[in-house]
Amino acid sequence: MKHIFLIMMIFLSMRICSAGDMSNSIEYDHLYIVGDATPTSWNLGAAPEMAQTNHGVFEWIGTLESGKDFKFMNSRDGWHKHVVGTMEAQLAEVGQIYNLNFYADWALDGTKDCKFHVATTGEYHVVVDLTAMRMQLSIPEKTLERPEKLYLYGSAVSDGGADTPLVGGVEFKGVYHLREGEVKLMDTPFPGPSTTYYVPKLKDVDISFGDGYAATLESSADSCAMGWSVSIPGDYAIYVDAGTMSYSAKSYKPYPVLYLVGGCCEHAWNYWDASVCCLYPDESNPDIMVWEGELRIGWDNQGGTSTPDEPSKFKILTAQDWFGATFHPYKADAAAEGSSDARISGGDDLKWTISRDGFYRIELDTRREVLTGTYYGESGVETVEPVPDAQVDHEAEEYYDLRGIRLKNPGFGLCIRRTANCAEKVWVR
Amino acid sequence: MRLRMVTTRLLQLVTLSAAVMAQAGNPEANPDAVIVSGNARFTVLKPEMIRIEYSDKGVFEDRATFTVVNRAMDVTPAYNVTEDSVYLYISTDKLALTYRKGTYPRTLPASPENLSVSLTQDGHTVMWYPGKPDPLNLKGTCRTLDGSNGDNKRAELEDGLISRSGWAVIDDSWTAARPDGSRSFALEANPTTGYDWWAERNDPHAMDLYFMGYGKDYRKALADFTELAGKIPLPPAYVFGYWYSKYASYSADDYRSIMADLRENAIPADVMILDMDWHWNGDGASMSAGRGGWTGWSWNTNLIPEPEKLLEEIHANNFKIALNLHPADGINKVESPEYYTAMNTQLGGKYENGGNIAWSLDFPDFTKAFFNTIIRDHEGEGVDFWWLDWQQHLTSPYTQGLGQTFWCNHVFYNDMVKNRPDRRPVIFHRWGGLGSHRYQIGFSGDALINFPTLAFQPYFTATASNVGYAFWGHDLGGHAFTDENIVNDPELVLRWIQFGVFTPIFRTHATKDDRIERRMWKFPNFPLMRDAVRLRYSLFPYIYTAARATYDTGIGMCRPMYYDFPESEEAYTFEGQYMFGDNILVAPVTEASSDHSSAGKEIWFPAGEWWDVSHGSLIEGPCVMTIEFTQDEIPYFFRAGSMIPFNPSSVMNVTERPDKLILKTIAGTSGEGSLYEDKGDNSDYASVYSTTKFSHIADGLSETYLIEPRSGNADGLQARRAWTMEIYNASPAAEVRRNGATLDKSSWTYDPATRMLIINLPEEDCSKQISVDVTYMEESDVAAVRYRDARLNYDKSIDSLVIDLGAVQKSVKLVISDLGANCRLKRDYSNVAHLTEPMRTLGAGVYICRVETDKEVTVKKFIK
Repeated sequence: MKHIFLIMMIFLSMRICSAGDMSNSIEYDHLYIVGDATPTSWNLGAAPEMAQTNHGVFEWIGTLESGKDFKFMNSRDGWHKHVVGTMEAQLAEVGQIYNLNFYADWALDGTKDCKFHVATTGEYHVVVDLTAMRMQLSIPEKTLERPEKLYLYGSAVSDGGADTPLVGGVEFKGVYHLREGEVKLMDTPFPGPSTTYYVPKLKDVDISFGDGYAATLESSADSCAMGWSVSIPGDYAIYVDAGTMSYSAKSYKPYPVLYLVGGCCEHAWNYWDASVCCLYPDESNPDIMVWEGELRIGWDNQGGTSTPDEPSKFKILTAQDWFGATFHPYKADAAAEGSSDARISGGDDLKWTISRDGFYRIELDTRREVLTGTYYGESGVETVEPVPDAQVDHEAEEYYDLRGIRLKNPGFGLCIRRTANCAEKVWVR
Repeated sequence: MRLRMVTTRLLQLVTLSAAVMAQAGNPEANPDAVIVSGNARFTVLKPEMIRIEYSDKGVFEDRATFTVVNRAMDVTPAYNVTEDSVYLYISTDKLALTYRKGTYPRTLPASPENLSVSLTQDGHTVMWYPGKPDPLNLKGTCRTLDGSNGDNKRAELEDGLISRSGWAVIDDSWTAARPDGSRSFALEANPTTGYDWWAERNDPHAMDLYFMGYGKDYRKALADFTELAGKIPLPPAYVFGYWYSKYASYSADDYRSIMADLRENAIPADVMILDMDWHWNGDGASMSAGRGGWTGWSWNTNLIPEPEKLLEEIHANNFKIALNLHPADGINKVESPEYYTAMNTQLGGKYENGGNIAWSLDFPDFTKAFFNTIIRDHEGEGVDFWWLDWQQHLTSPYTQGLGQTFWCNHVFYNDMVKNRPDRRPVIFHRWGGLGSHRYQIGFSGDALINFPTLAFQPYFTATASNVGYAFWGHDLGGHAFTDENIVNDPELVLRWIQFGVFTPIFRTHATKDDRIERRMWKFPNFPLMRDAVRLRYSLFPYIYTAARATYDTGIGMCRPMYYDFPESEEAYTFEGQYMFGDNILVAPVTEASSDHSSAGKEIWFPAGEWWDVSHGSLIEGPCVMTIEFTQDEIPYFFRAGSMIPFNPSSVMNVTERPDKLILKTIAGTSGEGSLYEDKGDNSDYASVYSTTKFSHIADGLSETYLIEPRSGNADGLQARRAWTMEIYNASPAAEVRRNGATLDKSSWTYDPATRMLIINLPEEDCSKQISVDVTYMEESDVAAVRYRDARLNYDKSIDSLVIDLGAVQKSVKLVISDLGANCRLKRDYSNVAHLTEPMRTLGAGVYICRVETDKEVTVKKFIK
């Protein structure tokens, strides 16, 4: 454990180190609106984090009370990094653009601490562009209503409107092959007089924009409304959050490796030891990532030292750290056995759950985002015999995977060994 | 307002001694290039580049900034300006800009409502507007690889100057912070320091953008950038040699021992780094307890009692010397009492607080006192250049937005320009944002020791050229470890060093940890490591020529494949390979071999022919191949037609001037090359240098190679030189003539096994042309040795190798080697189309099979 802890600390310290010491610097990762004009008043710890919609651009929709002040803070770590106006007691009017100043100062002079106020209490849409140090207020537009269906349409789509199904009641998504051109979403399979089009607020932005941002859609009845541009043909995974109607898309490529971690895994949440947690592409379909091995609830208390967190659960990482994208289920504690929808687009940190110890085959279809778990049997059953890889005799024996496909070089996992006299399930490790 | 109504002007070549102006940098644009509309100002800098300014106060910036130093372009491009009641329109051959008059160009949220620029790419119209995101930017670089593990630094790469979208934007507004939170200040002459100093921008809220719409003409985008932002300086020649570096509490005798070991093991080397323990560091293990710390300025005389004597000895061993500095904590009374007292006296107590003079490089008086007191003193002792390592608060606590990294770069570099005119300025620090290319060289920092981290570095190094940061130097071997099993993995260190051969700076290093070994002679595979170092030294003439080309063209010597092959999708997706100079494709091995002998590398070969130096075969692109490389093999490939100058393998310092050079080329394809030479450390290299050009004309059985007279004005070069020509993929020669006279056959040799013709040319005056005519004996099959898809399989059922040759071959050679490159079986056949060769004599294992037929070579691995 000490070793694991040490490694974790090294990684953590490297992570902090890599971020650099930004103690005097403006940061483009976050911005908070604060002030007695806001619902959380001057409670910095509770100040709402504004949604980042573009590099250095933050938006917030909420109530501002007239006659009271508001400003922005670039950090919640104390009253240190202030984003304020350029004039004292500045009235912020809808439609006007205001310059902003940034100060990294623990004791900001009151003459520099220029706050804004509004003349009328109401709902406002506040946009702050830290790259230009400008702010604008507007009246919020009506929230987009979730359509029943969404279809991908445009010159970049090969065959008319491509269905973008709603999955888990949470998001519309799919992987599509797009050619160079333009694409938009619409609520009918084909354009018609009643069709509503859904396009990005940032006109003509490339389809691959949106990951990591609260990129939002707007609706239009205009069939010529500008959608996304597709500059590089290829497969794209597209996600539309059914609640916020925000979107993201990215180029889709099969993964070379994924990492299964959890309290039911042999090395629990230890992602950095890839010896037993890797999912690899299926030989016949690179979209299918496969892991075979043993899962146990709590895994014997990790050698008696302690019970791992969430002892019956697991999720799947795309990188050997906690910062990369993660595959997890839509529903908490979804059963590992059988098929269930997986998501990589965010959401709560949910996990799959096993209900019994034993050997499993876990398949993740990264294109369809579906996880399939197959239970092979309990650990220690007679037909499962650990065989060190070095003892695999390629000459005298034949090995097959559990679907009956012959394996030239059996690797780690369960497989069937056939010799002249018998066939048996063995565990190669 | 000087708006031109419906004006069409073709301003041709407004030169105004343009080359001189561009070199010196004139930040004020040619007035003919400027269009003002209300509070907006547009400057047409290139057909593909327009500066867009907006100031609420109507105050614009005509001084240099941290990013941009020259707006007086050699040529003011032709452009049209029109307007109507709402819009202003500016068009060039490449761009069309539309501006809604009287508005701030950037809307919130971003939209094309107030300003847009369009261009045509691949027949499509591409539109940009202020604030439009670009996920297709091809990226640039980042401040440091500190904490690099695998490709975790990928997300930190800043946007570059080129994009698959066809456009990129330099946001030089003061409001637009760089990733470290710093800003682009103005630069003004300063009488105290004698070089430009930071100054507040005229309107800190003004918009100041440079729109670059170059489509896929990446090379032009980067060339124009260096015209705008300053050239990438040529570092002194010695930095391209091997740097010995390791963080350790080395004593003077330790350094002597290292130099002796390097010499005794015949390892060429040129730079000796003294990491931070040269000064008092507060560490008891360094005999420094109670004195000093992370920052220090005075020699730890317990470790190095006579520093001047040591530096003299290091110089006597042909090393240049750099000391490491972490300046953030200022000058401390306990650590450096003499320097503290001297500076405090000069500064009249200013900046002093509690026995410490605060680091205050923001201010000219501090800077002057610091350099005059400390830096000059150490330079007098023999320090050649400085390794800066800023790791603390990234922006100044005194001047809001002043980036410490960038400002250290600027000050240390320009101090050397001003105060050490007898040598070529160079610093060793980090990327501090756009404009940092003017202050070579970068040290990338503390990367983890593992293969995935190594695998990221080829991409990282080449991609940095997208912002002109052309001289990254890595901690070859990695810096720190988390896995004890691989901390000194000989294969990992070897592969890192082999990669380093083909990077701008060749420096091994690691952190202070006795468990990490960086003395390559201590490794069991040291001979292979030394071979790599020697290859670096052999390549020096090519590398130095490429470095000069970087200065001239703005293209880094390590550059992504898409510079040359922008239309090929593979150029963007095969990130593990790059071009090293114009003519060498490199695809470093960055994975462990499965059996500690060879590793497969999947490589994309662009259209054209490529000579596989390791295996002696010609590869015809475009194709993707997976090739096995044993540990003594490095995947590098000469572009067919190239002519590449090499040093002889005896060279021990890159500053040596051998009497003979080697010229490598590949038969069958015409081409050219060049050799750049200067004094190596002269600051006037822009105008004092010499060049020797080579050319090669292939015409069937006859090929002519020309070494042209050296041109230029560099002094101190050899007047006479001999050459050895190594012509790969050649047939046997019937006759070789030099300057028309037949050469005696003793002057040339032919190795049929490697198909190499070697011609030894006698010493000749470098001012004279040498022509070499080769007549080959047989019909020119010179381009015929190539890989191709193998039709070769091991049939286990009959324990034989089965080879289908397609057609009858007059002569077939079969060679089977094990992964240790030991030949295990050789066979010659004649007039066969199909072979079945028993493998009974071979045990179980992996073998490499090479089949050479009349027309081609097939190489394939098989498992028995």
